Amino acid sequence: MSKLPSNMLLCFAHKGEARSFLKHYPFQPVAFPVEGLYRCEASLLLITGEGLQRTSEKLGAVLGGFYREIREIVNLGIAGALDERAKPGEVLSIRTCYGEGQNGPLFHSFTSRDGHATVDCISSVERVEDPEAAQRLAPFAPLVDRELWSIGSLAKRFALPFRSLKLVADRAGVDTREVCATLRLEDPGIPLLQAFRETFAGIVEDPAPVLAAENPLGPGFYCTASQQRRLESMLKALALKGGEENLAILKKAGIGEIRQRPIAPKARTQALLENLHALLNPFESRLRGILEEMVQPLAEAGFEVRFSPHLEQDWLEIKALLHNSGQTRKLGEALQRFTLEEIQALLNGDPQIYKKVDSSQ
Amino acid sequence: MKFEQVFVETQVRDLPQTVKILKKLPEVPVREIRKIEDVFGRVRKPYLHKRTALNLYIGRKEGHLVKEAPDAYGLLGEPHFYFIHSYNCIYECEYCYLQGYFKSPDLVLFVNHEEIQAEMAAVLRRFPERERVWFHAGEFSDSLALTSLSQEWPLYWPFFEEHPRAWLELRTKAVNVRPLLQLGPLPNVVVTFSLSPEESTLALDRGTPGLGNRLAAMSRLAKAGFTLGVHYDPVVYRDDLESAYRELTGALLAAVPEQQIAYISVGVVRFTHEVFLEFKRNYPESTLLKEEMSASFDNKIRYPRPQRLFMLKTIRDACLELGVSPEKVYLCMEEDHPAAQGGEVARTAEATHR
Ligand code: SF4
Repeated sequence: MSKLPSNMLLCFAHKGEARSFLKHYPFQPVAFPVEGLYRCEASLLLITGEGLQRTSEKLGAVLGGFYREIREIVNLGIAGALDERAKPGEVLSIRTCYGEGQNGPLFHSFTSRDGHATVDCISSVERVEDPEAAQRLAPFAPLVDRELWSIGSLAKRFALPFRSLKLVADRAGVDTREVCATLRLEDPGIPLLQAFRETFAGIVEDPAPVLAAENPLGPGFYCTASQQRRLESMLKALALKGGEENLAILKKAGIGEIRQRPIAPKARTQALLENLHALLNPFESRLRGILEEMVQPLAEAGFEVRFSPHLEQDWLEIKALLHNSGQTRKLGEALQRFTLEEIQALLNGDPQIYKKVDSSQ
Repeated sequence: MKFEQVFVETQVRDLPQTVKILKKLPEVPVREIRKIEDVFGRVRKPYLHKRTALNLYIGRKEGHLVKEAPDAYGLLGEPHFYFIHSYNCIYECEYCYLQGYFKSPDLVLFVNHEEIQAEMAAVLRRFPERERVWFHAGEFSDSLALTSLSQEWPLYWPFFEEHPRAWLELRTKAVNVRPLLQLGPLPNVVVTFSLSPEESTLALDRGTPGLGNRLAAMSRLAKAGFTLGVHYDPVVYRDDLESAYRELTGALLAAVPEQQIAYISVGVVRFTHEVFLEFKRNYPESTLLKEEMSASFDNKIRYPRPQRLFMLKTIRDACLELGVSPEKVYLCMEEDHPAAQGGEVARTAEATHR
């Protein structure tokens, strides 16, 4: 008996489709308000019942109860061919699932994690029992089922990846009835089980996340959730930029020096994020450095200087609290020592001023 | 290019233009539909499905066929319109705004060209005193990439011949210029190419002809007497921006005499928030993601203003130094800030996507 991949939730519409899996792996029923839930080691198997509504109800309940232990949802079952692009008897991995509601196609679609899959499936609101119904759906996908759209939708809601393997059982709307009868006798689970085992034979489990979830920067730092998100996205962008590992990037951003600063752990994280931002935005940080130097006389005279948000305009605001005439004199002297034109030329991207600054450095 | 299916509206099924297109696709299954909107965009088809499961729709464009371009689009002071004869593109430029636009990457060809031209004529009548009224093709597609299949330009040439006040701008990255060479140049038709330095083209313009091929196509058109235009758009920052665009402009001027270049427009890469999300989803490893862009004052993702102005002006200076007349270089500005304009022509960000 091959080993079942861990932390999976296998979903079938009918028990008949799951028969081989229940036989092949030692699944045991789980006492849960939703009927048709089984467990085998760290994985679960759910019989959802047929149709979008039933699938949503049962799968929603199971995900609500168990989503922390689920890594991936795998849907297995039969589907009908809507045209010649799918041949009865094939097992196909689904790329994207579309849906049909009471009033026509549902706008949202959900894409499985199988990047090699090339076949789409539409989940119909009712059984496709005549050629007209098949024709209505065929423009959207070559396969039809009754559940996958709900599975994709819930997977998205719970931020879980999903896959779907479909055994093409019939030509929908053409020979649906006869095939349904055949399926009662034969076991569609056998080819599905085989396809499932082949699919997961070569799959390596997801690698560890970029950073440890808890305290990703180690001792001396504290990351809020939003800081952690920023940290991860900046590390990813910097890795793309320089092809370096996280550790090398963090060193470049001065993590060692920041760790020693006598400030709160959250403030250390903030300082590190600012350094990462500077690494990621060399033009902007260079510009800010030059601007800072240019307004230095004002800052030295004790005045607060502010530029427009995102540097989107070419003004600057000078704030000063004047108590005596000495300060007025200081302000006058400082204002004389700096040139607004040069600052505005920088803010307006004048290449000549950038060249001038470069050559003077 | 291989289509999975062709959807044809019943109302255009027997039009000669439809028959001509279908003749070129003898192997592809054809499905008749009532209206394009019954299928196209009804469900959200992931953008990257264009690589393996592209469909073609043929139908009649309804509603406004010719639309006024946003304010200050193109050369200052002249009326600008764009007409819609197709949706989507076979190429896959990573920054393309179409990836967030239609909810489906499938190609749509509209075949009611006579109606489009009738509307153009009506627009011309609205501006009797104007010497030029511009009509831009390819706001939602590449003007030439599909021309061998869509075969529409022979239908438009007589219109522009008859209406010398109407100016046509085609915009492309394709090198498929044979249909145009067969038609011959017209004084009021400008064929424009989007160009960027070779490395950017290779990194970002997936599936498009390389820079050398684009320049060669431009050269062929120039030799045949066509007037050409250039879009340096989108420009992506690089430390050697000045030398890269100097080199590019040098290569351009070697391929096309300056007198045959009507204009060079320069625009810096930018995204709307929705397109940026879609772009990140589609190209998570894109080199563009390492750029110094962030949400700006209007929530668009772009470089900080000083940087984008620096880029625009650096490229303009490089063009001027190589002998391009100043009035031919215009900068696509997203703002009407007087200091930013410096005498150039402003153009809205939304107006340009390539
Ligand atoms: S940017 Fe232009 S050429 Fe590129 S994919 Fe978009 S429409 Fe096509």
